[in-house]
Amino acid sequence: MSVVVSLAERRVTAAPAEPLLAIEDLHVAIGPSGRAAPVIEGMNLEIRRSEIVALVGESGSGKSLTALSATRLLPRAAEITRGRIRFDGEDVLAMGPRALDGLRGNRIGMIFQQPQAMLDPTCRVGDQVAESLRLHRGLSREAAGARVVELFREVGIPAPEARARDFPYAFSGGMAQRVMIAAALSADPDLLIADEPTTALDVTVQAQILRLLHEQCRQRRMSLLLISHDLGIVAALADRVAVMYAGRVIEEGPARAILSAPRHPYTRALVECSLLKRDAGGRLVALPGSAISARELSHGCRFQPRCAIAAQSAHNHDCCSSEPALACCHGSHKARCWAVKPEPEEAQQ
Amino acid sequence: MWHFALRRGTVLLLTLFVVSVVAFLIPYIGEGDPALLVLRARIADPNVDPATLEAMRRQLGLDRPLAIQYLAWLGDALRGDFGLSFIRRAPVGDMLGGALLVSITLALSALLLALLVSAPLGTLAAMRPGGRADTAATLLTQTLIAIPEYWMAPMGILIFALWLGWLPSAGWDGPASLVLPALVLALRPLAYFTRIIRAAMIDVLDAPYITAARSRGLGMTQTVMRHGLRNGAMPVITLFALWLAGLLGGSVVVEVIFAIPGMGRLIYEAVINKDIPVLQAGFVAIVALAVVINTLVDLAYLAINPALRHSHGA
Repeated sequence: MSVVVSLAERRVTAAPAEPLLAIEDLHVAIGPSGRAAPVIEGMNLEIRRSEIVALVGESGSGKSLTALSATRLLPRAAEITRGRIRFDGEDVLAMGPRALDGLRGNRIGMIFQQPQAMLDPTCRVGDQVAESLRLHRGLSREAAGARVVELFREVGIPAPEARARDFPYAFSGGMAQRVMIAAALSADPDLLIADEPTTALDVTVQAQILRLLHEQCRQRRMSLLLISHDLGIVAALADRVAVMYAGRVIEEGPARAILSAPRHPYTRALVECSLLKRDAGGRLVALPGSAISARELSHGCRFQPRCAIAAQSAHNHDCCSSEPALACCHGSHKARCWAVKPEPEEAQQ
Repeated sequence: MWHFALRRGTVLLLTLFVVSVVAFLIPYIGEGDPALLVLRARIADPNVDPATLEAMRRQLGLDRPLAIQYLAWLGDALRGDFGLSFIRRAPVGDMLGGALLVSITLALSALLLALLVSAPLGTLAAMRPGGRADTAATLLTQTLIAIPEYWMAPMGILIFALWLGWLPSAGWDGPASLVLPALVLALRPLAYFTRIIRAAMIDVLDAPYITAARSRGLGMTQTVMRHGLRNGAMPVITLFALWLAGLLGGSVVVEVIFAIPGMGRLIYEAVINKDIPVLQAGFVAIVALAVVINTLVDLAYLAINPALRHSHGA
């Protein structure tokens, strides 16, 4: 009972208007201090309560580093050089180690790409899932063990009592990801960060895991930051989509708008790729070139080297000389492109 | 699991068989006539009377076929009877038992001491590579590896026995006399353990499951204790076993300097004096112990890594 009450209290602490997680002007650099190269430059992202936000982009665009920044779990070589991260009104970048441990697992749960590698091979999975419960809810070994079995049942692991006593080698990728989800949900977090949760899984298992994530979010009224390189997979689930390119958001807006009317040429290419569109010659449409990292960029639009619009249109000069701002195109739909003009009704407002 | 035990047991027996044959043949190495060796050890005269030699051959049973001799020797050896020492005229089994006990005590004390210091030191160094603890650990291990025991031991005696008078300078008489030799013996394994623990823990701490544990809210220390140490333990166990097997054969320098009646001194003296029965028994005992230690290491691997347990048909 006390758990439920404290949860209820927790959820009303912040003013309703304030986003649960707010990342502002985030800069992350990798490398030895002094010679560090920027990989995220001026990243902005907001997640409201009970909202599902998909963060999409090619590998190397900075999605995972953005996620790890939110709980300050960046690898040793990476460092936040500038920006603000607020979670439920609290400044995450100002938190000490104790406060961060109280944030991780407790208020922000995380799951990752390679579920099997995320489990300690020498430790029974039940004991690993129980860690958050014992740590954040102060449950005894027995109570935590019983709760783990319940959680396993909730996330669809068959024979939960027996499986809790198994070691990670006995789990397939899909089952291991269910274990990770059980662990991430165990302390009833307000936000779940799922970093490419289905990338390493079979297609059929992918769908199951995504459905499970969706169900759990709706049931628990939990926010979800869903990170993926595949726009098609996540957009169906998400309320809002943010597309990242070379360390910045280049388009964001309601999921339906992004999918049906993408404004940025990069997003448009992503949509086409995910729909497996074919060109006039019957070949699959592919985006030419490869993603650049933030460090390779000096000036101009980050996407300009691969952009068909920049190559053909009169915008060419702008595209090469300075980077466009994230401009409103319709309601909350924004894109970072010189070719994007605000919709007429928006302009009048 | 049973399959594994059976296979290991077979390997163990085969190894011991080969070792026993080699040990049995030791007297035939060199001059080739054990009777001559025995007589030379007993009488100073280099010119041996042929009749005496023949009598000695019969007395020792050397006129029987080699295979029969081997089986007789093996039967005695299995009962712990390796005959009498040429020099001390005492049963070799008793001499060896005493010396082994001394060496095992010394080796285990030294290695456990080394592990006790190197585990936290190496882990601390691994948590911040290039940090202050890491630099200090590197400096310390480099120094310890470079300084030989024959310098360390006299310095220890000088400081702790002669100047401070805290510990006995030599001998084997109670726990106090164990401290200084164990300390000196621990320094080099301590350095090597620290290095391998540092390397293993750097790998382990970069593993995804460590990030996952941190994402559940486990602090760094808790994460290392719960998920780091076990995973980093494999190479440490291997190195520990190698050192243990090595030190059981005795550590001649330390045993001689501290006048400790261990395996190192026993075998050293047996080699100098051509005390064949002692050499035979010592050889068999050391190899047998090494094989046993290796088996224990494999069992330890199984205990640590459940996936291995699975693949061995548990």
